Amino acid sequence: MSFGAPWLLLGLFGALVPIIAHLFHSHSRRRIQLSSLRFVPQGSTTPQRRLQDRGLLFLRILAWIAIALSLADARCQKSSQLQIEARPHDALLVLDANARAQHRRDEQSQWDRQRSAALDLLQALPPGSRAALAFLGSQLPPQPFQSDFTTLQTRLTALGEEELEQSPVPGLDRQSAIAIHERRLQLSGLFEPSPERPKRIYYIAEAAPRGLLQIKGSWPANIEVIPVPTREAQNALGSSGGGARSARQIGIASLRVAPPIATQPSTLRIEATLENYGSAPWTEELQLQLQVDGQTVSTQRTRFSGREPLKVRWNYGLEHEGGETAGPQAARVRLVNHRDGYAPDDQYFFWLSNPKALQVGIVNGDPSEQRGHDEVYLLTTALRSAFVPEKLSIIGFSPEALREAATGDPQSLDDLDVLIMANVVAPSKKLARFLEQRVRAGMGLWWTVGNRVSAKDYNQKALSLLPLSLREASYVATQAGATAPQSIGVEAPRGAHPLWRHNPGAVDLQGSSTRRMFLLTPDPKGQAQTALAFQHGAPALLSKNLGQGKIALLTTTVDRDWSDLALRPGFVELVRATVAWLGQGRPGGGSLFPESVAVGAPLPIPAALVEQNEVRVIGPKGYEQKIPPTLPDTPAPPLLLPRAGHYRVEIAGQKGARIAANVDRGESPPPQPAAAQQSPRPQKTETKLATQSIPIWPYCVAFALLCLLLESVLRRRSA
Amino acid sequence: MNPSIQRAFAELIPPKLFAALPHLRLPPLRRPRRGTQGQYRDPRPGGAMEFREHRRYQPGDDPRRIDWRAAARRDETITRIQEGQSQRPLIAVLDLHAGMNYGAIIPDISATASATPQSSDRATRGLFSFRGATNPVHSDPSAAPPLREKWQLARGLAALWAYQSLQQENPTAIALAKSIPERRPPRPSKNPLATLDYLEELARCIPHAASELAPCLRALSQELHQPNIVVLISDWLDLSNEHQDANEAQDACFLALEALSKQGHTLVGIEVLHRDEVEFRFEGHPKHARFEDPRGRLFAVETDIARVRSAYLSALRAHRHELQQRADALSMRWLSLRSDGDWISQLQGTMRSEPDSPPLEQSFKITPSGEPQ
Repeated sequence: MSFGAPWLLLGLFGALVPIIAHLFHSHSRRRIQLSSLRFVPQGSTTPQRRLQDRGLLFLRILAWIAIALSLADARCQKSSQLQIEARPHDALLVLDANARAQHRRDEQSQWDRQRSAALDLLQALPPGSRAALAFLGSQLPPQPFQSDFTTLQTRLTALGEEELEQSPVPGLDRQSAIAIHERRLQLSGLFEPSPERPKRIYYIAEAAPRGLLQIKGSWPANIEVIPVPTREAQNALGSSGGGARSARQIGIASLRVAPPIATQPSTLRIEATLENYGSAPWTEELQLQLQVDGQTVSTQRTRFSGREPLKVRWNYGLEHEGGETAGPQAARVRLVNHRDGYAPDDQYFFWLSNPKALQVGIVNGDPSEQRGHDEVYLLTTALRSAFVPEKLSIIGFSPEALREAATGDPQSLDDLDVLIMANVVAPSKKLARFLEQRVRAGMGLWWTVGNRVSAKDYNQKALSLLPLSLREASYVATQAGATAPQSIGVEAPRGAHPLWRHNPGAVDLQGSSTRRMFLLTPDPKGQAQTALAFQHGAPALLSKNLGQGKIALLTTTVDRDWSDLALRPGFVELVRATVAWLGQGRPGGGSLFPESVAVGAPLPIPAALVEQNEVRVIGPKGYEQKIPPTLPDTPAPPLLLPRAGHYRVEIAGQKGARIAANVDRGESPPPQPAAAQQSPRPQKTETKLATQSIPIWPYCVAFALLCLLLESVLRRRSA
Repeated sequence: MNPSIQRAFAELIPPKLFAALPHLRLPPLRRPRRGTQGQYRDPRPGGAMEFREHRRYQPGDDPRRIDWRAAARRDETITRIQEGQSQRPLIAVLDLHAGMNYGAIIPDISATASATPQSSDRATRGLFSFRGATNPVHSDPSAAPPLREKWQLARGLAALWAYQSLQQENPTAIALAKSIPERRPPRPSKNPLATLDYLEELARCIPHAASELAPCLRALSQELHQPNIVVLISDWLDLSNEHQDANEAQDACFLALEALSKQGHTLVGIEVLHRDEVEFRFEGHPKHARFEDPRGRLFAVETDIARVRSAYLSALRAHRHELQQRADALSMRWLSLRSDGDWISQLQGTMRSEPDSPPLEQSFKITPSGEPQ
């Protein structure tokens, strides 16, 4: 047993007080004068000055001792599972202050557990060691290395949740999702250069995939990261798997706002997905609210068994102002009646707005009078069939018109969401750079090939705009004894590709026949993804991401020159899915930023945007960030979205943007991994087991109260 | 009555009792015949002139009482029996053991009186400034313990009986039950100087020692020959002394009383008790208590006071029952008074048993302040 304040053990001498009081009470018992003492029964006399009511005295002494022990902060020592370096060393204690640190379980937050573990570690460090403190996911300043741990212990003790909430920079605290390897350089820089002294980073976090199990990356050779699970996790390690797993842990894992359908162009479909991170099975009635502009517009009650994710849907009609829908409305879905100790995933912020008409530009490189051989006709027909007319705007370009627009009036192409280059001669390098800039800003680019496409020119001038470099176009092999080239069909869409994420079964192109296609050079970097492939394995539709934009390449023609894809019923869905996916790079009607981001993740700003304009970010609870105009070719600081909520980005001279920030769902407390998978142990370090000092003052106080209660009962009965 | 003697009685008798005194007829003092104050019809034949009856001569009859005429008529010796006529001397015996001075402290009237300047005129200086016989208990008046209600009542009762007896011109004395046989018990007298002497002694005396009631009664039984009214005032709770424990002393007392009864004395026993002694009720019921009697004897009681009280009351009840039975056996009138109650009402209760006593409420009224009109 150890004591936090040993000098307060002097209070144990106070146990003499009840003894003296009992003796004194015996000595000064009430004195009664009576002349007829001969009638008082003589047998009831006892000698004076002896302890009376020994039961009461015993209880009072026990209560006094318990109070003295609690004041002295009595702690019992317990050998823990903590492994620490046995030699004197420099120890950097890194506490996980990300969103998951506020997860409360058994009336104690993960943050408090981590603080306790850090205090235990400081006590257990070998003599001669130095220690420092750093906080992952918070802007709290680190505490430098020092030999006397008193300051660190005081700092840790004072770092309650409230102070963490009020860190110097509001935000990035308690809601971020930063992994330790992302701060590898900063943490390594805290060590002082002394090669002979061992350097250890004790990473104190939850034994979870987003906690201790995320240690990876290459650290400097003389620095070793030692995972330190919290006490609860240590107990779980000792038990047979998952002892600390919370029984009911529910959160809104994701939320999707589907575009309006043709029959109800102003009605949005909201779909929230609930997920259970705890144990199952059980059933609970949940209540979810949909709030728009601070007003609760709908409440749904649903029963959730926790076995499978549960989808809750709303249909919300946007308000109209003068025939057009109103501007973006701040909305959130809230889980009302569930308290599981982790609140950030009980709500999801988003913006509600009617997406503007998708602007699709089609550059026809090979116009034809025959509709069956005209790419523009086939694409336009498919697009008009796939999209609501009000939500689609198609602009046709000739290659020359595109070149002139790009060089003469580039702002006229600002609203272009998707550009389809259909059988176009390879663009000039200048045009290619222009297109690349647009794509990086979020525009979608879809290449379709044909006779006008030269692999050599494309590879020379626009290689960066292609998913893979082109080889020459080739025909499918002619069968033996036949003169006509053989045709080939396409395989079923590959569901792993995000293009088919929402409706992979709707594309039915298996009956198609393609006679000629461009072959591609395999990409060792693996940036391109195949969404559709021919039956012999050659890719038919590829894609890659470039900046915030996306690029797709169809390796055959859209018209009937090389393939009959355009005649197949699945062609409409192919075009719709491809254009819709390409248009996601500029969501929210051409916004510069994505509509939903994770809290704490820095959001880069296009350099061109802040070269001349000031950017202002207005967030919840009065948060505001101003980014002044920067010099040309100077990187702008990223946008910081510190808290979950709705943000408005105002750019001087331009239209603003709306961003909804939500806590990274990966921070939600995951199911406890199996004990064997939990915190990896360092093997190469000579370590020892640390001891934990468990405070027992609450038990002492409870025992003292119990003693006093019994004492009062006994006293009342004997009175 | 001598005014100075009357004033001395007034200082000893509590004012309420003194005011009600004209209307009190204290047993066994009888209402006197009209015009013959101090003479009472005696149940026993005596020397009065009135004829009561004739009876046959019995050996021992005074030959002078033989009615020769009647004897001649009846041819036998007839003795003339005349009404008894007697002055009934009264002696009030007051127990002086320390328990008699128990109860709440009351203003000591003797202290006030002794503070007055001394004067050579004994009658005008007041009783308590009189330097007479030495107080056997407290020679230094300034060191005397304070006067308490129980003793005031006992002392007042002794003075009350003596006062009324003197008013009826009976020889009267107040005997303090102090160590006998240093002095003989006082003889009942109507001499004013003798009266002042025992009144002064009564005023100065405060109970402090063990009870000497038993030796005193034994001495009385040996010294008193003429039939007297003997009024015994005590709490009868603890009559122990240096030589006898309480039971032995009590037996000795009643042995002496039996002798007095056989000698023809009229006995009146007055039991003066305090509320604590009767009820044993102490506020708060302390679990631990240390009892101390006025003589300084003490012991602690560590057990439940409620149980002690129950045992105490049982023992006291048995003791008082025994006293009553022994008094009845001696034809002894037995009065019981409590020092905490209304003394007049309690005396009134005793008077109702007297056949010739008028109702007290018909005699005088008591104002709300307690003073009689």
